[in-house]
Amino acid sequence: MKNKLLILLAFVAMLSSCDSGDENTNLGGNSLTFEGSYSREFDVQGVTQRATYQINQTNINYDLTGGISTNYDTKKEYYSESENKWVGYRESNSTFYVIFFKNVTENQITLYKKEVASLEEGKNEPIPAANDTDNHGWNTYAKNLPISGKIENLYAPQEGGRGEPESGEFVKFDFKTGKVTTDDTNWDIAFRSTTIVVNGGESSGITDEPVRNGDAAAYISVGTMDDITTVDTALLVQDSASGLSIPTGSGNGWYNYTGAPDHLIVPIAGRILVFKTRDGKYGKIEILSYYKDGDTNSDFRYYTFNYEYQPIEGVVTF
Amino acid sequence: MVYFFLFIWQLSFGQSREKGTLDTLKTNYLQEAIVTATRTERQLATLPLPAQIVAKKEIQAVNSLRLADILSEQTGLNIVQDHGQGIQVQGLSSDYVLILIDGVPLVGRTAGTFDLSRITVGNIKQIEIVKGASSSLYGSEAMGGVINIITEKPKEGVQGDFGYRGSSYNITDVNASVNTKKNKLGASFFVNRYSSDGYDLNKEDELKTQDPFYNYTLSAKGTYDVSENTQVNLSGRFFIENQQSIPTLELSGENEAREWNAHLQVNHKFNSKWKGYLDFYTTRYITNGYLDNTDGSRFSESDYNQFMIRPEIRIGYDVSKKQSIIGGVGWTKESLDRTFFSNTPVYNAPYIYAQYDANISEKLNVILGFRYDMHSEYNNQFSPKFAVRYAITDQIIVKGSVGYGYKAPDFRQLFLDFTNPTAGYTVIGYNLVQQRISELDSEGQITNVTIPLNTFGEAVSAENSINYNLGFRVQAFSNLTIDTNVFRNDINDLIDTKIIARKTNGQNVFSYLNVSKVYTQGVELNVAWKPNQQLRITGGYQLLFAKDKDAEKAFKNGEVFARDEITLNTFRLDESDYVGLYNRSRHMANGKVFYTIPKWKINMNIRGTYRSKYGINDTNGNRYLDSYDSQVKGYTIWDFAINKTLFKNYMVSLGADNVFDYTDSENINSLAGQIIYGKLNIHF
Repeated sequence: MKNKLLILLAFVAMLSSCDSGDENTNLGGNSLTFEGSYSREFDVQGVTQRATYQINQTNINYDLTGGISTNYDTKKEYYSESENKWVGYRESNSTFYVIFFKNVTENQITLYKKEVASLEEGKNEPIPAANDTDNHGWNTYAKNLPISGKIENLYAPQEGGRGEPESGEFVKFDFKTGKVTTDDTNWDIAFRSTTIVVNGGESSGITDEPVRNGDAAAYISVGTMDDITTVDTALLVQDSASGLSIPTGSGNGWYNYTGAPDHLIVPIAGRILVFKTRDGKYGKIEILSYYKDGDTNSDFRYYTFNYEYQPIEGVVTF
Repeated sequence: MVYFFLFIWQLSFGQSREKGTLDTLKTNYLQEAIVTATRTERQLATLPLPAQIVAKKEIQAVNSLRLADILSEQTGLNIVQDHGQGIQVQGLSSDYVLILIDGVPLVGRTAGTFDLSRITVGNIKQIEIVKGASSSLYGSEAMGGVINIITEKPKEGVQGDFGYRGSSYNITDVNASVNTKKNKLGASFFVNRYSSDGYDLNKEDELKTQDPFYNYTLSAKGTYDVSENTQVNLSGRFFIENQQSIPTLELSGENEAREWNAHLQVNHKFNSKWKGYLDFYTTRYITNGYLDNTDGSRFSESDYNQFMIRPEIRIGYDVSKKQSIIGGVGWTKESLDRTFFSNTPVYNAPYIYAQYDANISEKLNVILGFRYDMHSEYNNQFSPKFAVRYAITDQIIVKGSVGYGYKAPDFRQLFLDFTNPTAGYTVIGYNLVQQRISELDSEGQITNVTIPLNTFGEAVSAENSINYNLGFRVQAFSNLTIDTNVFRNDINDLIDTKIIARKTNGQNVFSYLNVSKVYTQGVELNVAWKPNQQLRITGGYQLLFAKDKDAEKAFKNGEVFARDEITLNTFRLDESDYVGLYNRSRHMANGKVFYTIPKWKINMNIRGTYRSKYGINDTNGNRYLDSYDSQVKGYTIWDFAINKTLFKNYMVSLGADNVFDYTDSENINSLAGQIIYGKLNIHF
């Protein structure tokens, strides 16, 4: 398999050298041997920025989110596999970009991007040195990098309880924005006291539960956050009248009730809640604490959790 | 200190017996007879089983009041506070230890615990302890061990004793007994009153750690020698206790317990080979408790009424001087009427047992026994046992045994029907599950059933174990004895609560199911040294590992995690992080020094009891007891007593229990602080 791939690559390389005189008419040579979504996260004045290159054969989309946001498409004009150089045109402000690639592996890519005046300039641009720091320098981007974050003190109050009928509005969370929301459709999971429901399936019969209009589902996995790298979609279940996808009760789901003398709700260490979101993407959550500021002497029903969200359609890995 | 001049003690023991014992310690040890291990009188030293005796002399020298006090000072016995003072033997909890009085069982347990503080030691002749499974003789509950309280028998003449002990916390104990025997007729009466004002370890709240209580024990015994070969014994015991109950500032009430036993025994010797015994025993244990709100309205009531009746016939046959057979048939009928039971269940359990005991050679003794128990509510049980003792030399003896032990599912596990009025969860006994779940379902209370109902179609299995012991006894010098025993208990079908259904109110329905397998294993070591006539030093140690097999697997497979309290980071635990079962100390040790000054008629002793740290709670909530859970700190309790005989028939004693005032108000409610006492005993 590997040999065949090498022969193919050699063949493609030969073709590209034959076509070198043709570069104006053809989009410039070779087709890319890598495609997909590559991202990296970095801090700008304490705010996490996320930069993503969505690399396709005909274009590369650049997306920047966080404190500063931008998004633009660059249409492929030229690509040379031997030089690992790509030149594209950004229509929206009539500029060209040259992108150099190196260390391309299954999981990551390292690239250097520079704005140039023309296609020709791009073609003639030499490969920057490894220690070149102009234009943000060389940076490594991970393939299908999930979005990770931490939610602190999500307050999920409840009326009643301890034998009295339980009621009250659930507090909803949206993986896509990484935020609590009151939206009726754009939510994935919702919290009330120790109960967690998902935006998928049927009504479970709990008082005041939100209307489910998505396709969310969940299961509980054993491990650390890092251990859970792939979603086992066969395990996903939706809420239903016969029970919630995240079971309630001490020791059944995400928490353990310690009983006398401390009477604490303790998230069971090593329980990762794995979710399919309302629109078929995947996320996972590790609940760290049920008490305000993670302090068990403080008020309860305050969730602190780590989450990861895989924003790319169809990708089941984190 | 005030009490110093108050007390005393009888001296017939004090002097005459004491002296005798001190002179011939070794011979006495060899002659100590025990009946519990084989149901015939056997010398302790020749027994192939791990057993020990606590003699009256020791009980009196340390001024113990209740059974829990004296047993807590013995090697390998651990008193655990859990719905009463229960005993743990070879790492098995109170549920699995049978408590007998003169060979017949005491009933009345709370959540499986038999509260040993119920038993006064005032009229005890000796306490016999057999460790490991003895279901081959005693059936259910004799899984971890058997404790048999042997009470005094009427003796020739007329004797009486009066004892008074007063101490800190106004703990008062008064004993009076009369004992007479003339020709064929003997009788004894005993009365004890024990009371306490309770104590408070945590002064910050307004509640007491232990509420005040008082109790009375009355017992009477009559013996009649019909002929030289036939004796009739009739004994009865009555116990009543009243304890205040103030669990919160809003609630107050009382708990009352009453217990009685009646035991008729007829022994007949047919000839030199055949002996027959007839036992007729009945007992009842009743508790009534209530709690009232501050406005006087009733908050809750709880009642418990357990009854047992047991006839048994036993035949002993001496095949030869070296071989004997003992066999018996009996029938136990038990019933329990209590709060949260919808009916009054009755157990019917006939049984048969036999035991063959042979001295194959002078060096080799073998015991082979079995018992078969039939039962109306669970699977019949066959309990075999094999034990062997071999004297390698006169000084070194090796003994080994393998036995089956079991514990019948108790009434609660089969018939409880309880819904917590405040939290809303429900607990249903195994035998009621199918019926009650259907009922709850038709009432619309069940969301889903998590364990299929047909699981409950078959009878629940009794919890059972296989027990192994291998011991050595070395008589190093004439005054030094070393006893050691390695033990293991493999326990299957342990019954635990499990969620069987979810309710529409968000709460669970629990029942009792055979879920876990655990083991306990360890080593016990006892050393007794008597360097001279005045001094006796003993030391004991137990090493214990008690673990759940599934939990061990989970740790091994890397399925258990813990979280750093500060950073909240999760990390994986490995096998070495698994601590084991709750309430087990890895190390327990005791040391005692008894010193006598004959010319001053004084004896005194210092005792130290140590237990290493142990877990009582899964404080980090990962459902296992691991090395990151906060555990109860290890501690040593030191006790001291001095007894002096005056005018031959009086004895005064002064002592302190828990001399250094060790308390742990957060974790150990049952341990009061330092208790200084004085005691007076009059013998006539």
